[in-house]
Amino acid sequence: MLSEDRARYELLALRCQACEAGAYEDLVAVMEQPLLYYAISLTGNKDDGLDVLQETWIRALRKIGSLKDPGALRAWLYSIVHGIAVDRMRRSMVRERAEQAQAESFDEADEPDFLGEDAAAIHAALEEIAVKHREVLVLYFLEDLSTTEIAAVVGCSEGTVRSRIFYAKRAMREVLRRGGYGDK
Amino acid sequence: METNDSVRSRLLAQLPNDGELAGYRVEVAALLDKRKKALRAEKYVHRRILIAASLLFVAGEWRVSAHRESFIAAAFFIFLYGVMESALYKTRQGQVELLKEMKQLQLQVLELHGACQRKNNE
Repeated sequence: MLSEDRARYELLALRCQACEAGAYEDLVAVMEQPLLYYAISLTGNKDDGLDVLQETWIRALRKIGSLKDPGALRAWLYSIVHGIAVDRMRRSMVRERAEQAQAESFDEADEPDFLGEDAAAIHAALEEIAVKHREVLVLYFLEDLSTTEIAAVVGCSEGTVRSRIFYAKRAMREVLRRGGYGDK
Repeated sequence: METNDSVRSRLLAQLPNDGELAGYRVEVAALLDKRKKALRAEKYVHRRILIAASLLFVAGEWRVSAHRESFIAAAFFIFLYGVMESALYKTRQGQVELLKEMKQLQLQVLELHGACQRKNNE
């Protein structure tokens, strides 16, 4: 992420902490779409995603005053979405596969990219991969967060995040190939 | 290698349209409004504590009974708590305002730097 963009987010967080007029509206306007996409990708449907996002705003507005590092605004918001979505999924017993802790090792060679596919194909492919892979890849695609920031959001080590991104990309590539996309 | 910006915009295009989100947006606007009122109330908590301490002190002074000292002592401790809360609030507010000013300056410098780079590239 560019330092100018980062500075803008930091300023936005500080404006919210100072209770400046219009700051919350700006925060919602800037972060609504990526957070909603992340919430929908975790919960699997639009209605649950909207519920998660609404709850996220309530929690964020209540606690933004205690956010120690304004530069971590985006990671902080994503971690709230993650926490709320995981709680909901735990309640509905959908997340059992993603909850299994497993040691992962990976080879960084030949990392796939997504040049030619259209949005609908990537969107559909994301829904087919495991939740633990999907969440890191969505954060990676949406915000280009660092592995440290993604690790803070999903609550695992940086090494695990790196391996998950790698396996997620490989799984995505496989799904897209099966669907007839990206055979090049 | 494709930039994430491109994938980002393509993925965000898959979200429900504004018409479908209208109800949600109304609820968020109401939520923000409610939160702002709560914040305004929170902002003056320390003042209320100081007023309560003053009232307790006055009640203790006027009340001629065995509990007078208890009133005065309670008023003193509540007053101290109120002063502490007030100082913490002012300190935090000052820190945030200072950081905000610095960030605004940094942003201006970065924007100027970006503009210079674009001009040099042309």
